[in-house]
Amino acid sequence: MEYTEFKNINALGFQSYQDYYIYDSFSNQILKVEPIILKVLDDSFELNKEQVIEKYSTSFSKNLILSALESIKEIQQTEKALLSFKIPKFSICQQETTLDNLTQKLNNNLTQLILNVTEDCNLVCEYCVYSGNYINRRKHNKSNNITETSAKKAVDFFCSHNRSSKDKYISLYGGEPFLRFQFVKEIVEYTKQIDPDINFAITSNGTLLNESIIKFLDKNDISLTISLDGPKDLHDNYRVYKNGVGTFETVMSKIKLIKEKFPTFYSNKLKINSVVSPYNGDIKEISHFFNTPLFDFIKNSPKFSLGLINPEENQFVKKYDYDSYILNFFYSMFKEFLSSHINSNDFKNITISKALFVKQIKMLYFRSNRFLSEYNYYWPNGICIPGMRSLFVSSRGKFYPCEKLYDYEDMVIGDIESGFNFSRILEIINEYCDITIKDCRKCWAYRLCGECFLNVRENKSWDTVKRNQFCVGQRSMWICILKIYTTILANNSNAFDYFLDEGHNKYEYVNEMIKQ
Amino acid sequence: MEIINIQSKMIKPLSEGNQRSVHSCTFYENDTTMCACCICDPNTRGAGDITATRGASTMNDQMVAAGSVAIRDILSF
Repeated sequence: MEYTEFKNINALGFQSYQDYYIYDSFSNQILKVEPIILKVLDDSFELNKEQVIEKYSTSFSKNLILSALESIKEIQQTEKALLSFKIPKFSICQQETTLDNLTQKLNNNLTQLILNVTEDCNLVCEYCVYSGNYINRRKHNKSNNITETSAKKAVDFFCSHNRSSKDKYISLYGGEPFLRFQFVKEIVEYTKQIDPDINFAITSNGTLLNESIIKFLDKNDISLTISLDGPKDLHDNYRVYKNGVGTFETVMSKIKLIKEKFPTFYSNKLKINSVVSPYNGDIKEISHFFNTPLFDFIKNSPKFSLGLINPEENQFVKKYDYDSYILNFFYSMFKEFLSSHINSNDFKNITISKALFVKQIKMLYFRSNRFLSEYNYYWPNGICIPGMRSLFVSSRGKFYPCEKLYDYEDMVIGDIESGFNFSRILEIINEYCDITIKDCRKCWAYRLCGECFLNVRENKSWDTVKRNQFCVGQRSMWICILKIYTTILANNSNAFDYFLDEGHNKYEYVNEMIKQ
Repeated sequence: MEIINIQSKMIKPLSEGNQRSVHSCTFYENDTTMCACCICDPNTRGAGDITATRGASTMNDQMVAAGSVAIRDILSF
């Protein structure tokens, strides 16, 4: 038995090695149970005692069945766990979501502006979502550069709509933003004159960096994410210039330059992002690479993140049989993560597996203790208030909920000339709530779910087939994570106490930020 | 008494470390749900790497099985 999705309660039963557990969404508790509980739980809501005994009389003794039923009753009364509950409806605020409360939030609480600096790139990475290998996705091009005037208008808009936000970011996105370094300088300097507290972040392929650019980033405290996939033969297989030459040596030389000449910037502001892409060598070699002395990821300085290829239908995924590779990759990383947490409490050499799983493990570890019935309203899965968290401004000055929804013309939520289209934003939220609540109201994964508009929207409508695929993926991911989590804790009950030393305040901070 | 003893072993909350119950925290205004994107790491976020946004969709029953095999392989040594 791998797992059981109960139909009468919002709970998942699963086996982890030799133990059995239930994750109960109503109480948000994880319960260790005897296998018979998983058998009789659903029936205990539909059948009377005698009927349950009769149904399982060939498998279990009458006393055992009675004990199981009593145990279920007892945990329902003492812990308020394993109770049936239906989420009545989704809403983003206590009262009915209205234009008034939406307007109030969007006028004062923006946290991030993303400027699409350029759609051009000096690399042609095969897996890139802008490579032309994806259906319904734009391709890198030289013609769509946001003008300085438009970008400054977007900055003005952002600054006048974030007065209640504590944490304010402007992210410079592309393409490769450093193809327009003069533009980047101009926007940073312009913004700093208006609000010196705004933080900047840039995602780059790293190839165009030089000492002068790094000095500018360092001076202005700008966060920099550089893409580096792993050892040379892996990285150079995918991250290449237009002439086909790999970029590994160049990127590594820039990282070394930063470390040698700007050590504080290196420790505090640099993040390396690695895309998991098929590798012909041993997967352990990738781990070894990122655990070399050049990096110091275990101290989180610089930081490290990991991404998977977008699994939308595309030529790259087919060509490299990505699904098979990912299966092997995850197996290897599951083992690495488990072994380090069960056997050694030694996290020095688990850069990749930690980046892969630790966010979800932390979500479990820091999950709320409140019962589902205690809430006044129920947030719709993982959606944002479009525009509030990651307002994306296209090169033509149109607003989108985030960079991931650029290419979705029907998801435009305003523009730099007329501001937010509040009624459209309200419409998007309400439509999403209406279309999803039916399936979500009794889903065991509701309190863990990361679904957003992106996972449901396609061809200018709400696509339930696409959504179902995502739901399966979400639930499968959480089954894996719950198994890993319970296995580790069953063998080392204090394995995750180190989370408290490395950033619990950050979580409290996020909560405060969202509460604004 | 026999029944009570069996009951006490049949369902019990998982022990999740010394500090979890004290430090559980909230997300969003009502903490019912978790985040969808990079909000957990607000101090370092850049615009997301769009190639890397839909990891969960790659998961399926095969992946669940891979997780179980990994657990078995680690614990059976």
